[in-house]
Amino acid sequence: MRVRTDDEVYRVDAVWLGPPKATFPWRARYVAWGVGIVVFLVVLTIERQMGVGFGFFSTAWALVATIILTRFITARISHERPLTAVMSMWVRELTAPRERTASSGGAASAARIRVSAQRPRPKLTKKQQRRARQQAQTRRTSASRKKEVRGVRTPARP
Amino acid sequence: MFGRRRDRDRRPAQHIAQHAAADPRERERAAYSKRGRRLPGEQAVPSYTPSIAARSIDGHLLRTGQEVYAWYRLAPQRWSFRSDSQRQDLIAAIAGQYAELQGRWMHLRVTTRPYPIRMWAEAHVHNAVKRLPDTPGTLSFDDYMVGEQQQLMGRSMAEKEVYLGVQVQTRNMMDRAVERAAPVLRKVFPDAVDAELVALDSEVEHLDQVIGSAGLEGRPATAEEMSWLMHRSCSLGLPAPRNMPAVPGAAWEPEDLASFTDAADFHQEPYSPTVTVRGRTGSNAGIKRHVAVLTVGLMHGLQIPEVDDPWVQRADRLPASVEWSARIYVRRPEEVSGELSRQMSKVRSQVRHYTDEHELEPPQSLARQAGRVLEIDDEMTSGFTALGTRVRSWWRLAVSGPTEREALRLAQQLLELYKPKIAIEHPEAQYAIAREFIPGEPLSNGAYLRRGSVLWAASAVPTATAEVGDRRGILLGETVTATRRPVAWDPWMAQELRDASGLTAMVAGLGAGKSFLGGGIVYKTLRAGAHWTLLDPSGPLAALCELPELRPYARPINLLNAQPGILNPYRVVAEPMIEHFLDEDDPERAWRREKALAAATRRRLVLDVLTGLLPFEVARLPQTRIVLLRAVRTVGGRFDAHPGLVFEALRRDASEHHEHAVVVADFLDEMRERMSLLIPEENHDPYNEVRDDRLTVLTMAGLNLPKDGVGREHWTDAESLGVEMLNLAAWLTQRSIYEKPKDQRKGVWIDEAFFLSEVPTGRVLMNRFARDSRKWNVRVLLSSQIPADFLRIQGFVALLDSVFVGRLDDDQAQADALRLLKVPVGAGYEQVVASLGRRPGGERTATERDRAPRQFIFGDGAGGVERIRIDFSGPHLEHLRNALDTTPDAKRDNGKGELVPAVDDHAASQPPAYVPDEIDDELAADMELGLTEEEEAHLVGHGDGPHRHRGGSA
Repeated sequence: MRVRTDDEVYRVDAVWLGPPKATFPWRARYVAWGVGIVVFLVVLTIERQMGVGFGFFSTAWALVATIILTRFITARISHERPLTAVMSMWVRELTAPRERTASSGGAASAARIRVSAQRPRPKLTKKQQRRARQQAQTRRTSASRKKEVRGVRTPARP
Repeated sequence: MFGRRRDRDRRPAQHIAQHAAADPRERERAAYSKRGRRLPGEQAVPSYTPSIAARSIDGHLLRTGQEVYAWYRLAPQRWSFRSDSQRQDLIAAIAGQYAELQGRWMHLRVTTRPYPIRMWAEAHVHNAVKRLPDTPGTLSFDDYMVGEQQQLMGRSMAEKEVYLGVQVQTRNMMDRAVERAAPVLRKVFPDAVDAELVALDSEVEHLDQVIGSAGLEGRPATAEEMSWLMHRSCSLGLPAPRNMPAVPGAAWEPEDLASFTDAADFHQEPYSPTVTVRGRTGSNAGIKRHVAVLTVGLMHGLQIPEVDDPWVQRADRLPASVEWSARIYVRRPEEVSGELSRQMSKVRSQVRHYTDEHELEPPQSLARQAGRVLEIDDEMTSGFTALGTRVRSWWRLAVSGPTEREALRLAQQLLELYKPKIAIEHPEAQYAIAREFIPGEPLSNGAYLRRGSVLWAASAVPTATAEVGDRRGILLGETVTATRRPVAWDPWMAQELRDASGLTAMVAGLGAGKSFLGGGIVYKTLRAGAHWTLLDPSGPLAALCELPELRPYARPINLLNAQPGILNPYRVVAEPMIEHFLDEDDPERAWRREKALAAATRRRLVLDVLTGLLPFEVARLPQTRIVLLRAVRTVGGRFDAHPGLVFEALRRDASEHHEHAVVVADFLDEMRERMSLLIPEENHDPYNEVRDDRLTVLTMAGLNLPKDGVGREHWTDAESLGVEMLNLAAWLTQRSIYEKPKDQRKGVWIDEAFFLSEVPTGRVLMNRFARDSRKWNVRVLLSSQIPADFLRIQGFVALLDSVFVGRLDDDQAQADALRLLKVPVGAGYEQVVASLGRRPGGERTATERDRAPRQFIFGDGAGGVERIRIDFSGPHLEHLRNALDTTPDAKRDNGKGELVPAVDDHAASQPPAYVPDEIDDELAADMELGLTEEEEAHLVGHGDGPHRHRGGSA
């Protein structure tokens, strides 16, 4: 059983040879024309931004730069790697996470944490203080009399 | 890296404290009453969003923000040693399943579950129960295990696992809103939370059914498998984790997914050829791997299955594991036909542009493309099968190495492997493509799109494997077909786990390595605690007993020098013991039945042996058979009888054939001296002594055996005696299994087993082996040079469990060997049998010995059939190799010790006296062995004897 992909069908090299009856000496795909036009506009814009005036030579140079740039770009795209895919791969290269070499933080330190042995207790008012003292006293006196454990006979008092 | 808190950037460091007093009103109240302040509750928990697209896993359903995928684990498919039509059927079945998934995305993932050799060693040691005690000064078991592991250092018995995710549905706004509100909704309206998945129920069931049918044979992935897949994908290229996090019983929530995503992080430099994966938790913490992600580029036409392997399986040849991730979209026919017509018009306009507008010759490729468009259109519209359905797919591969160099080297090897028919590309944006391996992630970009029919996609057959053997037995060697992986085989696994028989046939021509393989199996299993009895008529295997570590536990016996009576046909059939039947429903009855069967077997055996010893012309006469049968019947089937009693019974024969009986007795008496091994001396039974040896090698050096292909009628007396003695020796070997405990692992190896087809009791012996090998936990190895010998035994192939086939040169023998293996005959595999272990051409005149490891085709009885290379090459096994070297060498110093003079002492069972009253059992046993009187009557021609038969005779 011979199995093969359908890829060949989709690899039609759509070229534009030029206007009818006026064949250009080069063959360029439609994509190359599209890319070329965009690049040419960009180059012209950059020239204006750099302060180069519009004239024959500047445009000629722009054309040369466009051809070089277009060839550079189209050499990187093919049916396997369409322009959009290459562009998206380029973006993804740029946005991929990098190795972090700079350290953040450092050794964990508890030096700045204030530590005290006792938690602060609520302060008592004077009335409360007095009552507490009285309670403590009564507790002390009763403690000597009360049995702590039931059922254990205390030795008879003399 | 993957996990990112939604509000990480805006939150200051002490966010918890801030949350504690989030509400300004609360704060105001706190000023006067701190005690009544409310605790922050659920709002304080920072929310978590995994940075992978997956959001939750419910059973085998994986939900991302946009879609629901159902994941299936696909069953491995055997590929080697199947006929082309079987393979084509498999591909067509898979293609049919793909075609049913029109309009859906699929995500195919191939990953591995490694089984490192150290894990094998662990399993093997656990499995080696009651192993051989170490003899001081020799190779100890621990050293042996170390040696075994060193021999296969770093290898792994990785098992390929193939998963397929199928898009069930895309999710809408409502579903996402419900999911977001799930914590609240669960309290208020719990049904709403599950409504989305409940609605999918019938859809999922439909998919389960489509994927589960023959072809892909997928079943819904279990929680543990989902966890494994997620883990392997999120830490792509890292070694397998030693311990996996526990699997929850319920669904995975987004927060739970952190256990996958936090295990590793990915990073890369711009335009670097690999992406770096760094392990962060568990056994992989701190481990770094460089992963090179490749993609499948242009592809030539392939001849699958005739010439080429399935193209995904080809990657298995790489010595490292390769991860695959394929995104496949099965297109609807209407989309494709629209696209095709567009493409056609594009071609036409180009042709017009060349010819009409510029008067140029259009390129040839345009005509070809136009032709192909028409072809595809035709494929899609013809026939009722949907095999013309089209797919768009992206196939990525990943290999990893500890250094970038290593990863790139593997990538380069992969490129070479697929040359020249398939181009493997190494694209940029490695990180983005590496993320595609994670279930649920979207396709990172559309480059390297492969279009084709479902048939083309199915012919990748990622599930094709080359698996044979198990993962706890002794190491035999490695597979040599598509994949190189070590082969281990536990000869007792079939009986203990699979309830299969323990019969193994070993067929190979002269010098093809039969004794080497068998000897290796015996040695290694002995070390692991098995008990073996070998019958080796020619004798070289006695050398095993000389190995220092086996010597104290081994005993060679030369049967020809043994005590008289050791081959007494009444004694070689073991007497059943009642304690072996205690687990039956009615032990007493089973035991009696078995005893009757043993008695009948003895009578049958004596009859066959004596008939075989008579000259052919005499043996053929019907009277001979009648008188012998009668005499044997008179003597009965007691275990303490012997053939001498039969001679006497013959002389006492009082029937009309008296004279003939005397003639037969005379004939047999004449051979009496030569039959001394069959008749014990008075008051001396060689079966009285009990010994417990782990290895017993019975040899019969000097036995006269008939040449192959010589008919029975042309055998000399010595030759027929030889065959009968061999038969009795085989019975003796078989007897040894009944002397050991039932559960103990026992092995029996009968070399030169061709005689089994020559003697009538051969089949009886085979049936006994087949029946009892499972019950008594015995592995029976039968080796022969001619496979036809085995095929001649009725029903043998059905009883077989595993098969080893070595090199055979004869065409017929090759076909027979394939029949034993249950492999299609006439499909071109005969050449494989012929080429096993053959040294490459051009070395015919070499004076060096061919020491290359021998190859066998191994059918493991559990469905695996593979070509394997026997490898006992470790330095720790050198003494074994030397001992098993049966190739003659005049220059070798023959310092082998003499064989120990035979001491024959086999345990005699001491059962109660034979009770001949069980008429029914006896009759049944007779019938089972074909010993009924009907036969006698039939032979004489007048049926006057009382017909006691009830059923049909066996």
